[in-house]
Amino acid sequence: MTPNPPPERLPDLSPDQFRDAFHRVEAAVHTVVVGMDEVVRGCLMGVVAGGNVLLEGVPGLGKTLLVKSIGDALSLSFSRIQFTPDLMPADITGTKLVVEDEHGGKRFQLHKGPVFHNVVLADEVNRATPKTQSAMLEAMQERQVTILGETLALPKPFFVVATQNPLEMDGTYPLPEAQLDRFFFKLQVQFPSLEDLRTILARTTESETPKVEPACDGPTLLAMGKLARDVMVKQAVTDYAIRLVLATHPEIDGAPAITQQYVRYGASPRGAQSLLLAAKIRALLEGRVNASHDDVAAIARPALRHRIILNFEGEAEGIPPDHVVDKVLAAVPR
Amino acid sequence: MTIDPANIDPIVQAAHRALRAWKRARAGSGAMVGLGLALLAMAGAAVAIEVARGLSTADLPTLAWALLLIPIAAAIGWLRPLPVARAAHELDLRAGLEDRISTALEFAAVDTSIARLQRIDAASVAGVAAAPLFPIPWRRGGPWLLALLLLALVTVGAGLTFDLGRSAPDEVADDLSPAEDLLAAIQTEKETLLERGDKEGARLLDDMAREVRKIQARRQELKRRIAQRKAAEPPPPPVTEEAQLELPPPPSKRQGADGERGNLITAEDLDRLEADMAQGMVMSDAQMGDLTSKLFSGTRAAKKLNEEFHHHVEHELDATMESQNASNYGRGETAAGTMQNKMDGMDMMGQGATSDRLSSQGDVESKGNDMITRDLSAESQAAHDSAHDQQHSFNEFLKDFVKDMQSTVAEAAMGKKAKKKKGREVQTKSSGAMSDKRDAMAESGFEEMEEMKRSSGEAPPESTDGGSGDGDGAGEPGDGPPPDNLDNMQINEGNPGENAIAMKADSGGGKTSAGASGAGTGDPNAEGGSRAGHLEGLAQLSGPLDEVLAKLGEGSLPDDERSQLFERLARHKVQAGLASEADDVLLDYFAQAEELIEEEEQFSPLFRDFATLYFDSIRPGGNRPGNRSAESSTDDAEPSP
Repeated sequence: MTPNPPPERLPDLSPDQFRDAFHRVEAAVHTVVVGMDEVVRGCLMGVVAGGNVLLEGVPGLGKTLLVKSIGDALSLSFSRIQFTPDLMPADITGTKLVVEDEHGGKRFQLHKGPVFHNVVLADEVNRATPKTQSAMLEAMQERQVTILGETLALPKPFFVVATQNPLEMDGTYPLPEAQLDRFFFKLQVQFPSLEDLRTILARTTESETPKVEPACDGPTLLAMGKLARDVMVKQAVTDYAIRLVLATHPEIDGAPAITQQYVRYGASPRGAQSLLLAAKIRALLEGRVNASHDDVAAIARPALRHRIILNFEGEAEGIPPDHVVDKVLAAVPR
Repeated sequence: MTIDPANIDPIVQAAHRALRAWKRARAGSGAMVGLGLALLAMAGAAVAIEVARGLSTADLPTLAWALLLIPIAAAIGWLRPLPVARAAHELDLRAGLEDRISTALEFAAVDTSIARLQRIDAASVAGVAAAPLFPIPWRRGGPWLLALLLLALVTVGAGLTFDLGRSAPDEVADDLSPAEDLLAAIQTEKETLLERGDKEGARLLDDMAREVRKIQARRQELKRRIAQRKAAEPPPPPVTEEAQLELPPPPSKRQGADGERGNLITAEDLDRLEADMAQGMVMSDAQMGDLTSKLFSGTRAAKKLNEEFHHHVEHELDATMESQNASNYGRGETAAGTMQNKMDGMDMMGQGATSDRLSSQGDVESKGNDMITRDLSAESQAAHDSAHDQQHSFNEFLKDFVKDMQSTVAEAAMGKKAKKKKGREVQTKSSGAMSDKRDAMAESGFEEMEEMKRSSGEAPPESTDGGSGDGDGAGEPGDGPPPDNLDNMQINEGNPGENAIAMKADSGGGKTSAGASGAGTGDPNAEGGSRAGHLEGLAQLSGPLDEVLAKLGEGSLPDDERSQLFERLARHKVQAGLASEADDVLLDYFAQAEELIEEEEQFSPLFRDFATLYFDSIRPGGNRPGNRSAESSTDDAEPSP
């Protein structure tokens, strides 16, 4: 599937239409993906917000299937890049090759990499070298790539879903903070429950495997993102998001004790942006056109957990970032 | 129902309802805090008042002022600034409106499609009832309030029930007569003395005025408390004994420095003041007496002591009358019968069991009415004799005291500065007379007694006048006890009909020595010269004290007047503090009298206790009447003959 061209004019959506479209995509994904409700919703929120999502989970939990299903449900082009240590940046972005034309002349021809798709799955992103990983930075943040001096815009919508295995750390290159910060959400894929496993087995061992039907298209997805950004947020809620982010910084006066004890560096301003934008989407999903304190608090974990860098003590004691976020939420008054 | 997206009123009204409800809740919380503080303040104030001066119902209105903290705190809670946006935010939080109301208020001026949608959404939930969302936190503050209420009730109740602190001696304060009159009297007297040039006397009166002012200040304080207490408590509580004892400013210590002795109040000053008062020149005697009497006798112990004194006097008088009646039966009896009685009396004074022997043998040597005399049992006779002995000793004690007092008064009147030392010598000599008499009696033996009896029995009453007066001059320590004095007593016992004559004759000599005439008729040695000088001074005195002393010297002082004498002496003591020269005389004399009482075994325990207590009560630095008097009075309730 080729990437969709950028729409010229976005359709106007009402909050109800937004909610319906979102739920339709959710339902379409769930025809293939069993369970993982929060992961699916989080991924879709990231897609709507135009962000990138980092999925963390052991192999075999259906991460690739999830991302592919989202692409299919959104009628978006999908590509998968398996990150390995020998993966080169050009393998991601593409390169220019010398080709011979019909007249026998030779010229450079651009050969686009897998990043030129609407939905890109960067599988086991931490296995590639930092050089290769950094090739994704421009694509993730700037929505463009530069190949041999030529800058090319990525298709819209564009979002990257990266996965990493938290167990196998040998031969891996942990993502640098700068790259982590570029992910809108970090979602943790849990092992499916018994009921989900039954359903998975039933679906995957039958002769007919379900297919994801398109439930939404690119322009609608972009219109959903636009509507989400129009959601009203009063100043107190904005301040609440800011105070949450500030509370993750140990150098800030009045930071919670757990922050001062276990955190080396807190969330960046991108964290506050993610909080507020995700809160707006959640408000729309809840049937409101105003974001509330509860919305901010509800998406604080996926928005902040990968942006909190633990210090040595926190790493040594195995303090989960979610625990820090919870403590911060409890410490910051609304 | 369609909602106008441009109409923000429902949202504003919801916010204002929340504002009012929240203010009510804050006012209620403030009232609870105020109530708690008020209860705490009441408990603290009750404890403070109880410790300071004792809590009474009159203090309850004062404590109730603390309740003003309730409306004050409630008003603070209500009037504290509270923006509407804050109330809307609180309404969103408490009602779970997900910031709909507050967001709509904040973006009320925004006219976009999404803003209109948001207002419609907010208006749909604006009808929520705000009052239940802002309750007064009774559940949270209730236990604290209950605990504080219990604390306040227990504290105030305990303060009202138990008199843990000092209570105001209101009765004593009521009893105090106006001190202003006394101060005016002292001022007048001081001016008079200054006109005479008597600066020392004026200085003494200043001291007295200072003491009176202290009493006055105390009295005013007490009256203030009484008025405060009576305002809420019509029946005033009984005054405690401690409170009464608190009233008269207790003398801290006796002035001992010679330089301070010049400021002491002399007996002359007291007499002059008393005389002036008696004449109504400055202040009525009744007023002065009332003040001084109540100062001293205001205490229960003193009252009790007086009662014991009267009881003893009555007992003494009864014993005397009984003895007189018994003797009247033998008025026409033979001299042998009379002598038998005398001998019985003498036996009881330490010469053996003669009377017992005579009575038990049923001696019938006496004639006529002697049987009546013999009907008296040895026990009753001994009782009568003992009572008479006590009366005699007490009379001797008074007579000696009168002489000393008169000497002191005379010396003070004459303005002799060297009187003090000499007066003490006189006291020593005069008080030694009694012990000399006893010693002489012990040494003279029966023969001498017989001789004394013989001589006294033969001597006519009139003949004892000069002899007793001369011999009992109390100024001849080297001469031993004058036998006529003892003889008089024996005659009195044997012949009560002559008692008055004999005593009058005897004390007549005393009066002669201290009065205006007949001075120096006795032995003109040692004391004669000074006594003559005293008489000149005494001739100038005519105060009530002198009159009483004269009566006492005559031996004709009735019991009630004798008690009054002691009371007045005590008054002088209180009035003039402990620094009067009269007190010096009293001190020395009382010390000797105490020794006499302790050494004299024939005194009854009641009399001994009484005298000891009385001396303790009026002696400077002695025990205050109270404990000892109570114990001894109960232990020796039954007077033994």
